Amino acid sequence: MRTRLPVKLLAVTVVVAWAWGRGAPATAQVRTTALRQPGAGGPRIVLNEQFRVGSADGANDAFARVVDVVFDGRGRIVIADDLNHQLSVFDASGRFLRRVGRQGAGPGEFQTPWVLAVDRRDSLFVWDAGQGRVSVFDPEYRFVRDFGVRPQWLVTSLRFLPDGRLLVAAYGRNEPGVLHLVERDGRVVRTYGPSFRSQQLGGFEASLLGGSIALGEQTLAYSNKSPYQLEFYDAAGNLRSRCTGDPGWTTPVTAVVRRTAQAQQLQWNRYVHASRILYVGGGRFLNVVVDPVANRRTLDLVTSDCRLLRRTVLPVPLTPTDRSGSRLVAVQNLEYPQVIVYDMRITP
Amino acid sequence: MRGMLTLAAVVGAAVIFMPAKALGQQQAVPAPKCNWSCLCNDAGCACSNSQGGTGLSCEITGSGCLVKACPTQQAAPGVILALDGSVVELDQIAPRLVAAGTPLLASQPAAFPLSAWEYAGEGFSVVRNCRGVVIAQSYTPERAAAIRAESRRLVL
Repeated sequence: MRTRLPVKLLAVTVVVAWAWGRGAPATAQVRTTALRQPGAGGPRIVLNEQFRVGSADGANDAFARVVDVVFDGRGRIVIADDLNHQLSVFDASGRFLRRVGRQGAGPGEFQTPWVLAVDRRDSLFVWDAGQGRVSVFDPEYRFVRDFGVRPQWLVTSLRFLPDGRLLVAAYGRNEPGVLHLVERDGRVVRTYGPSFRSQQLGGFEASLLGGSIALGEQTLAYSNKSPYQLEFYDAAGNLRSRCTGDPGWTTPVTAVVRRTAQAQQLQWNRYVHASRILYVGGGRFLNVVVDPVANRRTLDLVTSDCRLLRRTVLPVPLTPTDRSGSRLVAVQNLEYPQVIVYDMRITP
Repeated sequence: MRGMLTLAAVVGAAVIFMPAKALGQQQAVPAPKCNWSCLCNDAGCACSNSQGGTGLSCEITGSGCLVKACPTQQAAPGVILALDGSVVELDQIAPRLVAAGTPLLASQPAAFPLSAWEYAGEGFSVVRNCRGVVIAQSYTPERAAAIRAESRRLVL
């Protein structure tokens, strides 16, 4: 019996991997549903801090700005610090391991490391916003190769599918969608997901588009920055449900940018938007909405059938970025940036 | 046959002595120069470029607009406008608004004096641009310590 479990797991993995890569996205109309408000009670999220890293002047953890944090399969934590043009890696207990990269345009060097993703074998992929390329590192963080992505892409999220291919959330002018299935060498297999009439949007307006993706067991969730909208796809890329949030919950893009004779003016400090979606198990997703005006984050626990299980305003500044098993990692920027690893429980 | 050769010679000579401008389709067209410009008003600052870009190379700091030379030359320190054009959360920019290089100023930026941190109450400090708009926010060590303590266990 004990020997059959790995076989079963392998079989499930193969089936899931096969399913994720199959078929073309369906174009059938999917009904849009408003997120149903949570009733009384509902599940609660309990976060207990395990450790945190980050200090004002430490030799290894004085981050300038943390823009992304991910776990790998060994529990290590990879932190992207774009203003220091490098990554920092800590072990599962918070001990500093090493830095990765430095400022430059050479192999393994970064200008602006912005989005991270780790595959099932712990290879690390880093999208460099300043150079429009993805750098690949092996599990020991040795540089392996890099590849370019479409130069017009503004990548907002990277996730690996079970078959090893990349799913990229990126807005690009004239692209038919914001979700891109990409081979590991950067070749685009197909593009789908919501599209925007970019002809009517220019400059900053267009750059505010895009969103975040999360993978559940059999579901891909895409969270649009603004307006608040969630789309759920099955393993073959077929749209299964679309959920909209409260009207006015996020700031419309057209209200963030105002055109003048001289330039487009970004009213950045008024932009309430969804910043990240995470899968937290049990068919539930955590959608994080940032309100820079009130310096507030709201967490929505949602399901793919548009049920809003709980809506919580975080009592402290904190932005969750990744989850692995029962661990959740979040960024807290006070007088200096810190990365906090929590043990996470969701009560019934 | 001779007529054809004559015609070819005439056409060839015409091409050789034709002004380069008239051969535009055959020659490499120089890329348009990318010019960045800034605008600041009561609501903040923004940048645009002559190529209709997305703001990737634009940075805005507490002193007003700073603009990178095209296409990717680094010019400035703390970034407030995120590289994807989205908003950088206020608490993500608090600590390090320290210049680390000589910025390339836009051709016609608003002449902002460097703003100072000001205490806003309850342990918060802010930086405003000269129009009074809060563009960065920070915390006193005491307030930060209190937030850290509150963050150790969260029931949401």
